[in-house]
Amino acid sequence: MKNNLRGKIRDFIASEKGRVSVKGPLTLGIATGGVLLAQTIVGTPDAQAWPCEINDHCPQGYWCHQDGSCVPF
Amino acid sequence: MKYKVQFLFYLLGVSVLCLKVCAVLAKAPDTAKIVFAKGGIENTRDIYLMNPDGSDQMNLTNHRADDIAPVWSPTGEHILFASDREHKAWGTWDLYLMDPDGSNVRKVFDKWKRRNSPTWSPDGKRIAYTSGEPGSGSIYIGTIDGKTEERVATGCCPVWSPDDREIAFVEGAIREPKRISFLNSQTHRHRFFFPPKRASWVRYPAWSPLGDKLAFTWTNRAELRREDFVLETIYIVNRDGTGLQQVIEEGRATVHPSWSPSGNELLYNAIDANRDMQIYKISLDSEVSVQLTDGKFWNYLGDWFDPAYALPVSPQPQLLTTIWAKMKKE
Repeated sequence: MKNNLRGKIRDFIASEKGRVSVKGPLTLGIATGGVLLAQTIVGTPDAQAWPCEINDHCPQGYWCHQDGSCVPF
Repeated sequence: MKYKVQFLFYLLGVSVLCLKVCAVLAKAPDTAKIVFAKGGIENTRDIYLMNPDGSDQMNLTNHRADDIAPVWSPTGEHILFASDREHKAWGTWDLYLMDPDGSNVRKVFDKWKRRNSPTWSPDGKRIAYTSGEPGSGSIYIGTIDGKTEERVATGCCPVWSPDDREIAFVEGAIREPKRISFLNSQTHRHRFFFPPKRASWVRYPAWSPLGDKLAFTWTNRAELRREDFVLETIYIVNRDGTGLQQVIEEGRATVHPSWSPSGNELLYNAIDANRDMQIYKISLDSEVSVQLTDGKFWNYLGDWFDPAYALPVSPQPQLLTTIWAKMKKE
């Protein structure tokens, strides 16, 4: 019974309908999740890349270094 | 029916008149107040008021947008500030006006553009500001009614002298050493002021209330290393370039000086023991510093208004006189 169900699921995923409705979105979801997770681990590089001249130009928690970039404090 | 239409027109006219009159009759604070920006949970900032001892903090904007760079109008009846409330994306600040109680918020210019770091002319009729991306902006002079604006220089962070004659601003490419320059408010010609010879790591110019001195920050090193940010500190120099004086010792990363209306004290930003940016006040006589804000949210200066030093008259730049500033002091 269990093997039968597994087989049916495998066949469904291998079919055109399964590829479109399950396999594609699942792959896309895992890839997106991976990217988001990587961004969380690495931090927020965007803020550091923002050009600045004074602290007003940086988000809270970032210091405007005189080299022109927002640096996390 | 005819009378009803007439009555409606009458009501509309009275409402419009009231709006105009109310905007003009905004009330200045009765006591001295510091206006500043404070960070919040959602990583945006709001405009606050507080007493000169740090007490009675009051949120004026209470808005989800990022509100920064508040400056008092010369009479204390309005606060000019920058906000990204139109586009709600980082760096899209434009200029807004509000009354000292946070009411009557309105845009200065109808058409959106990146505008930041505003300063008032002493008569309150014109403003100067930076427009463009940080690091590649230009200095503009505009009228406070938002009808005209004119590009006058390349640079950042203008501050208008109390005698109306010159606008100090920071000149130089991003990531490069800079100079503080003076722009003539009539001719728009500008000249290097400090350092007089080679560009260096200077920023945050601020005129003394008399207009006879300029405070600014300087990292006094030829080469700037990443860890040198703590060496940035506050200096004062006379308007003629003499009498350079270091106000605070190096090592605390002190920035954004702002004078008290009496000229005896300076406000500044520095990092506290918990690595949060706070507002401090130093007496130029005793050299004693007092911390005015605390907590985990960062506090950004800011401008200090005191009704005791506000006069309802304006300087006349064409007379080339600085007596005005002395009158204010007396």
